[in-house]
Amino acid sequence: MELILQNIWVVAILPLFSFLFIIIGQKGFVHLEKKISMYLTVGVTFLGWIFSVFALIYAIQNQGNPFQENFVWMYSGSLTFSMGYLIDELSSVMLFMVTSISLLIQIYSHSYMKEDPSYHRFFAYLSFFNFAMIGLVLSSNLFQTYIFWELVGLASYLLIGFWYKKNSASKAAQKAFLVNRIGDFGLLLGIMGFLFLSYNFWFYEADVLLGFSSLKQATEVALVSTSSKGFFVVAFLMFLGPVAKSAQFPLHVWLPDAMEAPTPVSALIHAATMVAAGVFLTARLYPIFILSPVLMQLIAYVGAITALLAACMALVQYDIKKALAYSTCSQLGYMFLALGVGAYSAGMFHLLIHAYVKALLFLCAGAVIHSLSSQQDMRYMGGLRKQMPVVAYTYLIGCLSLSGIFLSGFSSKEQILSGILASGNMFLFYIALFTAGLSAFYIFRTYFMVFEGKYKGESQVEPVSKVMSVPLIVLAVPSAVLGVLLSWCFDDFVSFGFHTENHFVFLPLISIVIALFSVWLASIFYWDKKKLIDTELVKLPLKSLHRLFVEKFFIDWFYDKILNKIYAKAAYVLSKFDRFVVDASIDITFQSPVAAGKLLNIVQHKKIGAYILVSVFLLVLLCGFIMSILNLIV
Amino acid sequence: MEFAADIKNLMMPEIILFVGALLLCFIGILTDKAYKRVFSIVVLMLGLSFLMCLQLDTDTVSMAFGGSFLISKFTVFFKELILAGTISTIFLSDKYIKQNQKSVAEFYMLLFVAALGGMILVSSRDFITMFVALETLSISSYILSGFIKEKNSQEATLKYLVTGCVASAVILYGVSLLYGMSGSLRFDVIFAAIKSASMFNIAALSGTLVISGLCFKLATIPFYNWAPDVYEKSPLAVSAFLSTVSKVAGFGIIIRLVSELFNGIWILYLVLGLIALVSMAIGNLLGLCEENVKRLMAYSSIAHAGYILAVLALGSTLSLSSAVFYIITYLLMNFAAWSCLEVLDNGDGVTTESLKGLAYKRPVLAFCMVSAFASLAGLPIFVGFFSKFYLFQAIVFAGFLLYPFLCFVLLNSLIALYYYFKVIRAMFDEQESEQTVFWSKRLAVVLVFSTVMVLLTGIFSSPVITYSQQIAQSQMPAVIQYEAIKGTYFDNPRPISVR
Repeated sequence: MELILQNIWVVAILPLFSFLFIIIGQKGFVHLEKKISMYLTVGVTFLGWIFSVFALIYAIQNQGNPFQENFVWMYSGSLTFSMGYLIDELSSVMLFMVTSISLLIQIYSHSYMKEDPSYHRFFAYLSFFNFAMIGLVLSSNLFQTYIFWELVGLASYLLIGFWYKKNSASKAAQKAFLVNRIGDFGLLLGIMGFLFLSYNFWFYEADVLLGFSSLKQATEVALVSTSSKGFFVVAFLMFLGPVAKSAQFPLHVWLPDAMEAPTPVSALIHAATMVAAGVFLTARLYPIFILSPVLMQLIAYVGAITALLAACMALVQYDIKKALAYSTCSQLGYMFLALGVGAYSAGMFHLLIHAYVKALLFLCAGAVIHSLSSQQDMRYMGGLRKQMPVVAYTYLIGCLSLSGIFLSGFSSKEQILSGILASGNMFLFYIALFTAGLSAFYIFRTYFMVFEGKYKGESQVEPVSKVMSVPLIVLAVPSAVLGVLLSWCFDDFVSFGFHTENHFVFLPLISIVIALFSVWLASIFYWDKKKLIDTELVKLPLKSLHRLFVEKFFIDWFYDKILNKIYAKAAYVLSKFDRFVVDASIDITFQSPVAAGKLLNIVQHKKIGAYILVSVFLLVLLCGFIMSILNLIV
Repeated sequence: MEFAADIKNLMMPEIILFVGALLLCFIGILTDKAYKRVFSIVVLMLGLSFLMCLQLDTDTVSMAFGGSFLISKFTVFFKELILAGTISTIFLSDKYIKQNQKSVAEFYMLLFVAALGGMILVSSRDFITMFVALETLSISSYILSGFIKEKNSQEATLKYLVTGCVASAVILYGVSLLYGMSGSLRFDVIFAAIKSASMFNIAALSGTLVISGLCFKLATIPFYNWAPDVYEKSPLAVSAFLSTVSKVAGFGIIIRLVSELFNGIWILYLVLGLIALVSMAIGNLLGLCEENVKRLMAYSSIAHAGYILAVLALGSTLSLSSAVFYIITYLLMNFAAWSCLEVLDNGDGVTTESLKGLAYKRPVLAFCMVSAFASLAGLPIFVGFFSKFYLFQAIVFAGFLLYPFLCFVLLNSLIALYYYFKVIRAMFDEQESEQTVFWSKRLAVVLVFSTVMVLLTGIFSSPVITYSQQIAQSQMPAVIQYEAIKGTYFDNPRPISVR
């Protein structure tokens, strides 16, 4: 046990090696045999999964007694930066989740990407992502977290732009990267600000700079050294990181576009793991956030707004992946809402359940898209249940779970709702309840449009391969039963010192009724309709609302047209400044060293006498200088 | 008996090299075509010598031959560096040896003798030993650099030889001043004499002369201008040897002289600082308009020696540890760069013109090259970043009075960026030029090893910096044990007038 824990860094490092191996050998030794890449990546991840099981067992046995090891990475004056790993309840659960989902998705990808010419590159990137994500989960301090935070961003960028020859894909990758930059920069500023405020603590008392295990004491020091407003600013800047990474309002715009990536990537990175890293970091930084009540309110409201807006936008999407992407946004908002009102373990529980459910839904969508030869528009699907029963039934399990009807999702959603209720903010509670209804509606809308009714597409439906359906079946199990199994104990396992109690007995009943009502509503509108109901909706008074949803609340429009214009003007002026002032001055300055170099070069190809002359001249100068200084002193 | 015991206990690494050199000499007389077997003997001998270095007891300082040979942690560390550099040079020279299979044993023998000279040089504790060791190193270097029997090469060797003679004369002049003053050639006696008779001025002058003379080994001013010619015209492995091993030996003895013999003569730090500033400026400026990559490496090595001297001029433990770190990393980066060049070299030299399009044709080689040159330029994730980082840090911590100095060093590394990137840019040029590339397994070993080390230590530098701190601390008590004069420069960057 000790041995495995001490060597758990292997889990993070091995994927890096497999990445290097594949990327170096992709034109050479692994070129012909595709299976080498696959077996290498999957094998490494499988090893990681075994390790994660041990880590989980350790964390269950030693609650409140995390295991960590650190070593010095770099000295910088009085600061000593460390690298290390920390295994506690939070990181062991995340590690298990990441490795298990990663493993299944890699197996699935083998079949999904079989025909692609860049098969090796894909697996190399998946390995790289694993390295970054596991490193992020295991990090023992904020500094290391930041490094891996950037690395997962890079992995996401590479994978969104995987088909970089497609213009939309490369644009989406850039958009994701740029939007994330805002958050990363905020996080960096926040970390530096926090270090500045609590410097005395780290310097005199802590052994690991910015270590998570002593974050609580550091926060108390930081709180004393500044006003509550100053502390809020620092915490807010830190919170910007999770906002961007987890696609929360107003930085949620990159996630729907990120669906340009191959579907397994959408399932792995943009649904289950990386976007959840924001929630994970918020949970890690909880000791800081919880001491700023204003920020906690802000987190809750950001979460609520995102949950509601994204659910509304999901209602009108025809692209199946985009609908699921908005659903991810909305569910992540739910988690932030839970964390914001103090329902810490509920938020983490929902993260865990949602990861499995959303990975399942995306993989099903991927299977559908794959067999319809890249058709993503739901208007050209329908009635696929007969052709691909496995996909349809697993998808149905996912839908039921997501909308909170008896399966896993029920218990996690239940905990969040009761947590909000316990906080006493009824406004947020109604938003959450309404969003729960909306999510049941939009997810069953996709189900009915894809799997029920008649087939409306033109292309041939190809059967789903076995390699693809196995991960679906495996994922369907936790999606269905994990919540039920864990609902009684998760609260004790991952907690932040306090519990939320369910005071309202009828809450489960109400939420189930709402969900069932929404499903019924969706079935009226979308089950076996020859003509799509959306077009009829437009004629109704809901017309303007519909427009609002379709236009994504004009947020993208605002960014594109207004902010972009201002920014482009400023950039134009600055580029001119750069060109005519900065560059020109450098050009002029550059001439003098070159001239000096040419001058010195005169002597460099000459006869030997010149060499000796120069040497002796320099020596005499040196000695003369020394003697004159000595004369001055003595 | 004491003599034999000294040899047995303390000089085993040198003795092995000596025996190896004799053996090679013998083989050279017997046969001329022993290329394959000789290689394994050579590597075995060097490895054995390295192992002997490792097993020396370095926790206590011990001396041999009546105090003229010093074994301490610091000197043994420098010996290990010299041996590692020599082994790398042997691997690097494989291509040259294969192509001209003449006088193989002699070539190796000269390398052995040069390494032997360097090892005794860093250990020497009186001026006779130092001078003899220095000449052993120098003379075998002259012969090695003239190993190609061509007119140009011979010309460069002659320049090297004459400059070296002048440098030796300068050193001897400084030594004679010290001898006349103290009546002894032993470091500790001279130190005591300087201290008791307060002959600050004469010690400062002779120190300047000795250090300037030793700067010939480092290829810094005043004796720098042999470097480009010799680096260009010698066999490439010899250039690599001169720019690494020979320099390491020079740094070792200069650090020891400054900290043991001339301890308290603060003005020598001024001398070191001046030499450093002018050398890095000259090296970098000359590098700007150079097209030949081998000459460029010479200028770059002048500039790097300048950086190391600059940080030595601060005279604190922190600065010494960053200098030691810089020397280790400099060895790694230089071997990475030289082995890339050796792969590309087809006899006519490597120019930026001939590198064009390398990145598209041979991406792996180009990657090694980029990592070596970016590391020399001091960019992160490569180890050069950390060596520059610790260097600047040492200067910053020496006090704000030295900020102009810091600015100058920063400016220099900025200028250097240009010529390193000239090489890198050429590789990404769309036009492709003809490149004949010659690989040999042994060459690839050096190339891969040094590139991997450049990357690995670039990411995890802390073990190396911790180690160099230990080395620096082990040398600092040796400084202090002479009982610091009031106003010693160590750990006190402000010069105080000394009487």
